[in-house]
Amino acid sequence: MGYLVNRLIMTVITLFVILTVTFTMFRLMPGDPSVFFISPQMSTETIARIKAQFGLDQPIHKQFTNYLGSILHGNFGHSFFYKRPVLEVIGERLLNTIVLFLPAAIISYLVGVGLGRYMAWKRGGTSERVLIFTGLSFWTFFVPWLGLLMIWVLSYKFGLFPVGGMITPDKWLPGSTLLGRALDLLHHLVSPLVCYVLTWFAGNMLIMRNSMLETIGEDYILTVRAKGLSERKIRNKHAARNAILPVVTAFSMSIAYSIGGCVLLETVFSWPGIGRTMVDSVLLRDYPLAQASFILIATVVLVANLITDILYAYLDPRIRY
Amino acid sequence: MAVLELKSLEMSYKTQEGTVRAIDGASLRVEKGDTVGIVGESGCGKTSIGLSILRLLPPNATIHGGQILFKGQNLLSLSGKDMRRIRWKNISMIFQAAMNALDPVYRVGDQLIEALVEHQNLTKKQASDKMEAVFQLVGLDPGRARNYPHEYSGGMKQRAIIAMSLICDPDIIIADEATTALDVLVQDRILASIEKIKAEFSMTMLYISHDIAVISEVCNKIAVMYAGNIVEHGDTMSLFKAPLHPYTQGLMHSFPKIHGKLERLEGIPGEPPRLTDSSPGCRFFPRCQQSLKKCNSIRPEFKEIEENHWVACHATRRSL
Amino acid sequence: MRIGTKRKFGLAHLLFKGISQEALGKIGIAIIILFGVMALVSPFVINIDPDVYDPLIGVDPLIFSSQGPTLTHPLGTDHLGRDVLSQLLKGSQIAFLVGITVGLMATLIGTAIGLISGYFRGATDSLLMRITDIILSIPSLPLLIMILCVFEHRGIWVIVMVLGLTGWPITARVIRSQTLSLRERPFVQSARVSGASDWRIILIHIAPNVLPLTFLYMTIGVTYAILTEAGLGFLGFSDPTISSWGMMLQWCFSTGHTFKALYWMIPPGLSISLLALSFYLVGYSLEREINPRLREP
Ligand SMILES: Nc1ncnc2c1ncn2[C@@H]1O[C@H](COP(=O)(O)OP(=O)(O)OP(=O)(O)O)[C@@H](O)[C@H]1O
Ligand SMILES: [Mg+2]
Repeated sequence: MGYLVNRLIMTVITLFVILTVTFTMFRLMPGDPSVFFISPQMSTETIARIKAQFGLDQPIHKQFTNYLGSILHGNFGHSFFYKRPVLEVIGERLLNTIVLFLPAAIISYLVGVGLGRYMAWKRGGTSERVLIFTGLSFWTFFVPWLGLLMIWVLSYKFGLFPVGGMITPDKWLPGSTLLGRALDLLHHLVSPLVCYVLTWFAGNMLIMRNSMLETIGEDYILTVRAKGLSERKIRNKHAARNAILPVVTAFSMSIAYSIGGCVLLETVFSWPGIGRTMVDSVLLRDYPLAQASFILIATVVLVANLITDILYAYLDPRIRY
Repeated sequence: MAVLELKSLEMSYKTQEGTVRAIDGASLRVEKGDTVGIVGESGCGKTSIGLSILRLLPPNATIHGGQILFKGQNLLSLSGKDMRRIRWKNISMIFQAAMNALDPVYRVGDQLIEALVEHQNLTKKQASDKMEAVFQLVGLDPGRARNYPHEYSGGMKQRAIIAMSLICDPDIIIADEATTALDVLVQDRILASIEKIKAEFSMTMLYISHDIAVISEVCNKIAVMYAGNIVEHGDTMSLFKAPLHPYTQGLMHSFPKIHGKLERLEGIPGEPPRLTDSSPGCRFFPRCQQSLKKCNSIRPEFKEIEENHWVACHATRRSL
Repeated sequence: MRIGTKRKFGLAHLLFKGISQEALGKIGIAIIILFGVMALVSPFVINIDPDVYDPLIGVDPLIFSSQGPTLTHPLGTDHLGRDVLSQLLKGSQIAFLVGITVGLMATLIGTAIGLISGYFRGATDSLLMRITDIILSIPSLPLLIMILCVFEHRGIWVIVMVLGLTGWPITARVIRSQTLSLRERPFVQSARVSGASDWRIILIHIAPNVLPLTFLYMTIGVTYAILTEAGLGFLGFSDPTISSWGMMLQWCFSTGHTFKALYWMIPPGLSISLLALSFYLVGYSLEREINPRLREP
């Protein structure tokens, strides 16, 4: 339990740090920090009213607590561009990002672990070398470029998948079936998902391979072999089961980096997710929306980290107690 | 018929420094109810013998001669699948590195049960009853079966491993330095448990240790190993009373006599040879004080000098 | 004086061996050299005729839209008539500049923190590692975008600084665990007994032994920097006064030339991926040299 409480406290602290950094950044911004809540088109009275309402006339520490309070209540202000509460705009986008990010994370993990396990068990040989080189190449592939190449080949040349977007509006008209909608979504999801997985799996694969190689040399593997277990059971139930522990740790650490891929991919594939929203809102100087997008992206990472940490505790009895 | 018999087994490891001839002619016989001790200095190939019997050698090892007969059947000619059936069910092994011999992510009790259900068709209840029974046998509280290895002390882990080696009622247990890693007090207690179990079930064991005091306590027969060879094999009593091989003689002198007062330790001068070197003669020759001319060029045969007493030495035969 | 500092791996020896023995390492070095030559050649190409070949302001007076490869423009031109090859060569310079500077900065900080954390342990260690964890879980690309959004001025040095200051946590963790085990080794213990100061032990006895790892993580840091800077460029947040590879791809993408002008779309993306890969390959070969267990039997 100590471990999980620890992780939980760390998550809260990290969130606090992120909020503080965001707050400070927007104070450092050139010009009046009130742009943060106020759109330039408003009249002077309205501005003054809003300033008072949001406490922008108050001392900085008061402003900070107000800021924390409103964010914890889900109040991120009004979007300049959409003229709606930020949360309304962003809620759906967040979900869209998760639709892409979650399967990508899970598949990258499973593919990586599966291939790494296979490589370590069958040492040497061409298949290992080919896998390593392919894996490393994809791992360092420039994500947007891979996306563009995929669109070029799969969509532009062969017309297999849509060029971008998340849905075809025609297929989501009232009266369309759930299955039809799901298939349409899936059709749009394939390219970005494959692109994401391709650039992400290799990290897990290489760590799994290395970890497996270390594990295979452990004494308890000799014991289970002596117990007369089949090679498959030795590999899956004992060697791989122990070898995934470092992979889970490394996976957790890679999430923050990998979500950057989301921002890039969503731009390339016109996926209406939170990463693209953030990019657009920064370009449009829609500060409240940009800030909220950043905080939510960071929160997604924190939650994902926390989930992996819980999973880790579940997998490693030495941590559990 | 002997439960286990090795007939001039030869085995080597490929390394960067060359081929290590870790077992270079080892013969030995374990009858039902026997506890045979293999004793020898560190690095002489004791563990390699144990691993060869279960065919668990690392990939860089090859067995290139001799036979390993289990109840008359040559294990070396079995298919991988048949060999797998024999492991643990007929021959179980307690490994030298007991501290890490349990998988850290599973409960200790479950690891014992895993071995059991692999080889026998049992219900869950039967299996866990059996597990609890062997736990009790080795002096472990069955309530601790639900714990993970990291919650055990070193001595408890060792007991758990011994319990695991017993769980399938094997025909023979190979114990490789079963108590060496433990402190003396725990070592004594575990030895006492082993003694008790052995007496109760008339267990057959191959007991590997470099500690001749432990061997003499536990075993009724001894095989003395030197640089990959078993040089002398016979009853504990006769080996202690009248060791025939010069190396055994030196070895017996190096250890305080079990009965009677401590004598001055009388080591054997020189170093064991490197196992990568292969000379046609006796491997003990460079250190032997009783050597003959031919010892350097002709390997002495492993001969039964008197009933149930084998020696590989040219000098011994002459003195008889 | 080195008291029993047993250095298993001399750095130079290790670099040489690790890279020369592994086919992948050789490929990596070859690619790095190739791009290095491109970076060196860049000024000469621009100097042929800056009005035409300057990557940013040189416009071929005869060309008003993106055109395919010709003799004067081997890789064609962009939508304004600027030379793609010249931009690519300049981009190579920028990639090295960003990659190496960030790599050095991040590994230096990471190594220092790792050494201090691992050597002193206790409260220092806890605090430093908590900070490391926090930085590790802040998504760097979005953070950079926010920072660049706030600082209206988007100089390449701002990007380099932010990347360098946030890119060190993994190095710090690895070096810390290595230091934890090194500090228990006999040669460190004996140095301590003979009265060497903590800093002396860290610098003279421990640091040389973590150097191979530091170098390994530097190659990874370089990869990270190249890819992240390119990502920023692609999103339109990089320094607008230079023509980095990411920017080139962005120009191509945002003007809708992606599939119309492959001569323009392929080179920058390929260069980013190849250079990132090459540093990673070098790191990978080094890792196998450092940890023999990973090598083939
Ligand atoms: N996997 C291996 N690869 C290469 N050589 C090995 C390997 N395992 C053992 N050896 C060598 O084989 C010889 C016999 O080793 P073995 O482990 O059987 O000795 P041992 O008698 O059990 O020693 P100890 O009492 O120290 O356990 C030694 O010289 C050792 O160096
Ligand atoms: Mg041994």
